[in-house]
Amino acid sequence: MNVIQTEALLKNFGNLTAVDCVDLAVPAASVYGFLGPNGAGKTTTIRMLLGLIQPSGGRVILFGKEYDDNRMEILKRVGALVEQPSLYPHLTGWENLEIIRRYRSLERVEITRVLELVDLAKDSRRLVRHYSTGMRQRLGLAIALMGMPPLLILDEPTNGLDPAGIHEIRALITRLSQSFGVTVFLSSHLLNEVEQIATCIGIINNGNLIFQGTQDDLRLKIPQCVHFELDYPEAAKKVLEAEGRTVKVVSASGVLVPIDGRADTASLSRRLINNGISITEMRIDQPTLEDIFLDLTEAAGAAK
Amino acid sequence: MKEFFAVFSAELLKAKRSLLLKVSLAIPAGIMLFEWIGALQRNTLGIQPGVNFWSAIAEHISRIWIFLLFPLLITLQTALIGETDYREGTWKVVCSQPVKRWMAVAAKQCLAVLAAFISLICLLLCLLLFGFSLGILKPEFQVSAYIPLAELGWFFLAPFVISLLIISFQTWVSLNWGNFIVSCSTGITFTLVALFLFDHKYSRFFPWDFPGLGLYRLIDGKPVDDLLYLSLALCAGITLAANLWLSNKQVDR
Repeated sequence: MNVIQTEALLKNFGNLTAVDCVDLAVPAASVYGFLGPNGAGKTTTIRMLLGLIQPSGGRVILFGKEYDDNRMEILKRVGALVEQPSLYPHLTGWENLEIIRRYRSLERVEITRVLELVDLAKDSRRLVRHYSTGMRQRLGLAIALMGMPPLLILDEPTNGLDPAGIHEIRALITRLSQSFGVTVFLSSHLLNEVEQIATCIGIINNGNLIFQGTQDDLRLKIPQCVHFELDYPEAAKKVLEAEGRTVKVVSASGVLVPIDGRADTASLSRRLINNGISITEMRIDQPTLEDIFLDLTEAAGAAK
Repeated sequence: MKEFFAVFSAELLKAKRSLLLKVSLAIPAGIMLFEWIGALQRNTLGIQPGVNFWSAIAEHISRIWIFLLFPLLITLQTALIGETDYREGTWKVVCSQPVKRWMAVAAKQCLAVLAAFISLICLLLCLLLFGFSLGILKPEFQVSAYIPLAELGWFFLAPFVISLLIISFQTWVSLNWGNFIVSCSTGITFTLVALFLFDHKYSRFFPWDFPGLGLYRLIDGKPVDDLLYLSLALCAGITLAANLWLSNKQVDR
């Protein structure tokens, strides 16, 4: 079952289409990485999922129920951190959580639990205005975790955290998903942030969902390439292009050729050698997810 | 009801250590302090013979309070209440909690009324302190031992109830725009317009003049029932409309 499902979700701000017919499908207990460059429509989508802004069209279905008809019931099962953590700086960390506890009618022990989860227990009696950026981020996360909701919607949750803090948050998200079955919808503009923990990925650009699937599906979007280091790259290009290949000269002695499996590499190298071109080095270039992400977003941007 | 009290208690907690509580107490106390210092420097308070000291002082203070300071204080209090959740963007956190939006708005309106009421109580307590201390420090003022508490209370309470209309409107302004400057400038403008308009025949149609009109009627010994009912009815109307409006408003900040 999909915990989050949107159908043709649309949001217009005047003439600007911020989110354009987005069909999200977030499976239960998954960590869904919602990726896109700044201004792609991630936060607008999240705001629509939380009912903070009304969609211009389409449907939002959470836990199999229409959001509009079941707002209260749905929000009881959702914890969220939207953009930067929004806190009351004149109150302590504990008091900030106490406000949420009162809104959600939770037991007092819940505050202790989430403070320990985000490692803020010893600073909970300090005023939030004296917190560092990382501590504020962790408190924002603690707010989202109050009541252990089965769905967490986190908008850039590692912003402002140091590498150790980022690692802790990643571990926490993975644990929440694997041990407690929590579905995590995680938005970010950094692919490497979600690459290590996301089981599913959605990429949004200019308001359009340009990819949705697993990381393996994403890798299939761009084929492997073979990188040749050789003495006459221009000559190599001519030879291979004559065979209908796409060849990219990447340096004074290097060319890049997309391949269809490793066997293809052997036939390419044979062809080059037969044409008197010496190969000094040959390696398979596996595109990183970041390359694919950039490729997809740039291609979508160019198409616009 | 239990749900609403939980939301209201969250609002009360937000007011902890905030400027709201400080100004609610400091402004009325400050006014009375200035009056007290002024009275100590005078030889007479100019109270007509046969007029009770407490009634005369209450009338004097209420003129300053009702016409100028109370509407300005309401403006400041409601602006601070609105700002609490807009300055750091916490309104979106509130709206993504399983809480009915109208309850969150109503809780803020109740907090605004409570803050204004606390200021009124503070003013009355300071007024009593003012009289007692003058009785000791300035025996020539002949402070009456009889305090007409009911009369004194009604003198301030009736204009306060009439002011609920202004509180309701200002709370809506502060929550709708979420901007301290917009809230303050709206309240200051309406207060000044009310001052200039007060002697005009149309002042009875301008809500910011209602508390002053009520006060003058009380001074003249006339009933204020119609003003009270009209203000309460308009307050209820504004509160309902504001709740409906804010419940459906997009949270884009």
